[in-house]
Amino acid sequence: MKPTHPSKRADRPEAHYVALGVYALLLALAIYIFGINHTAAGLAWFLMVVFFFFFLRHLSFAIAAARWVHRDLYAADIELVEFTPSIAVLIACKNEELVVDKLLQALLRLEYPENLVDFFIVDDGSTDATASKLDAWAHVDPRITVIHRPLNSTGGKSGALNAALELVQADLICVFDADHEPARDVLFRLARHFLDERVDCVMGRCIIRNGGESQLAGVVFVDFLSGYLVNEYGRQALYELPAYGGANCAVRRSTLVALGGWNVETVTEDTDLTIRVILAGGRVRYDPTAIDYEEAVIVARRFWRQRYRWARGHQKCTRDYLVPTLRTKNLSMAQRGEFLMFLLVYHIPVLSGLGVVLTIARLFGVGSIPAVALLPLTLLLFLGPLAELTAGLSIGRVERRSAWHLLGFLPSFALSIVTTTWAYFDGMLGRPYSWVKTPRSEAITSNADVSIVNEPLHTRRQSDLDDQTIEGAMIASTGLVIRSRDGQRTNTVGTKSFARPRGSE
Amino acid sequence: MKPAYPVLHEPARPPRDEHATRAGTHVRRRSVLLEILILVVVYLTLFELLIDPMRRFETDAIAWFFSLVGSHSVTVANNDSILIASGGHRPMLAYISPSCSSLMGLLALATLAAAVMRRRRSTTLIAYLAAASVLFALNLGRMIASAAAGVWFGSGAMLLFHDWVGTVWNFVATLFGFLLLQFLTSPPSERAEQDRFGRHTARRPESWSRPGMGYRARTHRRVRAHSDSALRWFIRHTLPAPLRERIARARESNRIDYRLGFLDVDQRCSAIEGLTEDGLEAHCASLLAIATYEVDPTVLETLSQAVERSTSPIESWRAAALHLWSRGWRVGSQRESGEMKMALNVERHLKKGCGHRRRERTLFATLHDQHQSTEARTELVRKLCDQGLAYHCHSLIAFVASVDEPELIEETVTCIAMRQWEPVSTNGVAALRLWARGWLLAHEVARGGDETTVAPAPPSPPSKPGKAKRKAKERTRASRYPGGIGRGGPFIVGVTGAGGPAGISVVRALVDAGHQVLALDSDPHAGGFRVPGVKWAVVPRFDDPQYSQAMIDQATSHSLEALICTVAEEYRPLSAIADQLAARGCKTWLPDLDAVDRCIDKARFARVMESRDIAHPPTSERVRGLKRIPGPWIVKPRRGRGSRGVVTSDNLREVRSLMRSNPDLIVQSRLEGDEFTADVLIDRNGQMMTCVPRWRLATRGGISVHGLTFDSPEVTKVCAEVVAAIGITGAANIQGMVDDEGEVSIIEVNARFSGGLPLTLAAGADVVGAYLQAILEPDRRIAPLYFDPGVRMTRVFNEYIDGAS
Repeated sequence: MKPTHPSKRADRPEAHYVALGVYALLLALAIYIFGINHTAAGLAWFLMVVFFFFFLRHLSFAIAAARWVHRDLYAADIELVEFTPSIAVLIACKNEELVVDKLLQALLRLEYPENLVDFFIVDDGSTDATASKLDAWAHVDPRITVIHRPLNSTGGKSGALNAALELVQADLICVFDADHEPARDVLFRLARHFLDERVDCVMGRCIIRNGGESQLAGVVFVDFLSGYLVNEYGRQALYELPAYGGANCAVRRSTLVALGGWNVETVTEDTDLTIRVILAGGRVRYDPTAIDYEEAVIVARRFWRQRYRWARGHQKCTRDYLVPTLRTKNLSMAQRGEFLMFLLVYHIPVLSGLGVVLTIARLFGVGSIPAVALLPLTLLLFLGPLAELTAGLSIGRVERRSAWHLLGFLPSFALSIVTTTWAYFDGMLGRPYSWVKTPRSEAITSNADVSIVNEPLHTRRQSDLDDQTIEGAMIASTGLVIRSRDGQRTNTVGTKSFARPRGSE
Repeated sequence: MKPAYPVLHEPARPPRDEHATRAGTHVRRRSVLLEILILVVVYLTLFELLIDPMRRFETDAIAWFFSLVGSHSVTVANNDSILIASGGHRPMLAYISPSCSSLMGLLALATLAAAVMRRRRSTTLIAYLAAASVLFALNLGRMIASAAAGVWFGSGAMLLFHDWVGTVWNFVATLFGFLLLQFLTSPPSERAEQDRFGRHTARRPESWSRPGMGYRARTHRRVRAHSDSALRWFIRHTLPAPLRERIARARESNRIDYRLGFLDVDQRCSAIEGLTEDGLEAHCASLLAIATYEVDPTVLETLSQAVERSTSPIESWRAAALHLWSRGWRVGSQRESGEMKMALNVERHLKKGCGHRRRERTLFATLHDQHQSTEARTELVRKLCDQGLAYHCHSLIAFVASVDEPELIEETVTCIAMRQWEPVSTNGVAALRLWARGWLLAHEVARGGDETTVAPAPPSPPSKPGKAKRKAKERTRASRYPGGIGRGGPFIVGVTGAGGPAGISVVRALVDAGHQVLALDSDPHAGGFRVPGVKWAVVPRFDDPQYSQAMIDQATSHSLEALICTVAEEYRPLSAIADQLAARGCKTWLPDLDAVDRCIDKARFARVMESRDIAHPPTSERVRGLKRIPGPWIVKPRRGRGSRGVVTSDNLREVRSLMRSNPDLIVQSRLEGDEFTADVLIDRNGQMMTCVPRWRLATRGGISVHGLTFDSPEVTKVCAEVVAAIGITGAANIQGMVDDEGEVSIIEVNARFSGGLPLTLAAGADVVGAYLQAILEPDRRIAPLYFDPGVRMTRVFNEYIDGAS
């Protein structure tokens, strides 16, 4: 499906020199009129007001989650087994040979009527063994359709998903990423919300499954806990505005088609779709019990690349949809305020960077207020997110030693200031950027098999694959891979070692 | 700046009153903002009240410190300033400003804890006191250091230190205090819900776990018994008995006993009866958990009846919710109509947090008005649910407690199901969801429902059979073999492998039950031939080309009605002739050959265990994999039987040499712990029906000579997982090890009866009889068998002497 309004210069994002010029002009004018000291002071107060509102936002989410989410997780489930819309599961894969087998195993074990679910896997020009593995899996189950896109195809993940969208006739579309392993009942849990015809998107909850692999992965584990159990939950509980997250989520096909598919001009197609659905008057729901497990980045460089992409994409969404958000009549005042803050969330670290500059400037005597007066800035910056993180850890009842991962948020926050500021200026200057896939770390932990063997026997479905089938598919695609207790992997068929071939990246 | 993609500015759907549909959300938001406001007011008030005493206290502490450590002359002025004079230095006046005080940080920590850490309040309080002490001490250190800098280097140094180093110090101190608070309030690893891998570690029953609290995986954690906390000690040893009992009652009422989820159906029913004898309130949380998680109709029916029988007054929202759930269950079962006993005043306990009382009364009156059309009432139900279950829970609860029109109930259940995204912000919402679940499950059962939803839990052997269990046991035993073994028996049964301990045991069991047995073996001196009353015949080994024909001949000539195979290697040739045997009236039950191969091939078995994450000894079939296998080692043939060819070694070089000498060997780590064997019987659908574990207290030549039956839900559970992973059916025995930490590891599975079978039979589980019955009646469901734990077996030699005068 082609975008209805393609960018005039698809090879290069739109630059915003004028806006940057206006900002610079305003700053120069303020300095000229009020002097540099008063301008710095004014900026500091402006920052404090902004940070205060974000602090309130974080704190309200933390309180909402601390009050209710535990009861949500353990509340009685009402399973309307008769409501089973047809579902197409879409996955874009680019050089995913390390994780694709686990993904397919998990997908084929999903609990859902077999005749109502199909899998569309897009090989987005992979240069490793992904394509051959996918083809092998396609022989295992006729519900799997593999779409091969040529190398250097454009559009990134959005383009790949749009290619699959053209083939889909199902009522709902579920999207997972290649490193994900959904829980067996995730489709039922996502689909049940579409009983309400006003619901267009449903988001599930992602859990990091390799939080113990490195300190950074541990930080991301805690980050996801609070992100999903607190932030996403709070947005729904207090504003009914959760975000569609791009993986472990479902969207109504008719809505997606009406909106022209996924936006190939953005690198955060999830945020883009969330905004368009909400501005169109649709509803997004979040189900914290629809679970899927994913891999965290374990080294700082990949973390940088991932967060840069998120920042770049989100900031572009802000620029694209700020005005429509202010104009929309589909949101109440409170919702509009929250939605604006959601749009600006990746600009806050940029403002934090500005706060740091002001603090340093004060060291050299610039600014009319004592540097210590900027201290509340720091506290507000940290207290809100810390409240969320605390709530996430408490609700998740994570083991005690995870608390020390909170220390990792100091460098993480410092890194995010640099990342988002970099992304901001790159975006404003229109520097070229295309989709960059986050390389996989080949997490040693997987739940795909575990979730089956531990399942009560009476809940077994016919869709369960026996070992022979899976072994056959795995041998056909890779050779049987044994995992030992220490996580080291050995290929028992060939001689090639699978032990972290990408570790040097 | 135009969006690249279309944004539909006009709603694509018919206009609706968006604001009204979000009334519940508005109320939630307002309540949270109100709480923030209250926190801020409390914070500011406490700060205003405490700041002067706090500064005075901190000033005194600093002065005390300086007077203690040096020859300083220290004077406190105005309760917030200190004048420090030291020899050789100019006197310095230090002023303790409100921002210098640690009160701001202490109150911030308290506010955060109050707002976010809402569970385990007593733990949070203790953790806060610890964190606050650390924060106070560190801040005091900062002020002392600042003052010291001023004394030694002048007031400029003090300002510089205070403003910059001190700011960082303060930040670090606050952060450390916060981390300490978080650390102390988080559960230790053995009590946590999940670890850093997102794995579930709480050891809750499968059916009671909830998604998102970690996925279920076996971990290698040491599980320690709960230590006695200081609070418990205080309560137990210092409080007066009446108060202590009251606290204990309240605690029990709010505590969920997760052990209930591990029981089998009969035991769960018995447990419910026992729990409700003390009144609904006594174990209310546990009963509510059963209503929330249980899927077995028998258990739910038992609970419903117990709730219905209860006449004690309702004192908590949980009891009220139980009554509401029970009504949903009974109405769904089409066994009740009419209003609930409103004297119980259910909604009184569930209205907290609901909307305006007068408005709700009016709405309920409309819903309850029989003169209104069903369509109008249905529409009103939709509207109320759309605005929020919490917002209208008062009228909705009153409504579901009285409604009995099926259309209205169905619509209400659907509306509640559609609102499962809505936060369970009030007790009323939780009760409404329980009611809907109860009705839906009962409705499905009543109409013959979905088996997968309400199928009974897998059976597990009990440790102490209760009354119901004993009855079931008697029933099972009584109906097992009317007139001997097998329906219409006795039968003529062939038993292969009569020379092995398993074969001998099977032969004996069948003879004891009155069957005619033909013992078969390749060894003319097989022990099974000597069992009194058996016929016997020597047949070629399973790998002999003549084996198949010999078996057909024996079946024909002895008119065998059933053939029991006790040698796993014989399954393959027997499968090839199964049809021919059946044509001659000889029935067999042969498991899937691939599954058998998974058992025989130990390397393949290890791979299957690994792929299913079932604990088993690290295994390698190659020398180069040896470095991954921690010692001490055990080297065995890849397809060996019994203990033949098994070598144990602590010497890596020796192991390496052995492995190089024979490519058909595998090496495993030798596990420490208590060895067990479990005799299991699996039906044709792969479901484990019986599992009788026994300790192998002593073995000789790989054969258990001293055993003791025991009961362990963990072992049973792991055995069920192994069986499912292998895909085996029929009789099998599973050998494993339980280490000191209670971790169950599986060593191997034999797709046949075990040598220690007599103990299993003696413990009451007649697996041979059940197996024979399954052979003769393939369509008949295998009933679960029961056994007595604690039965001990000592095996002695028995001699058969021929030719003596």
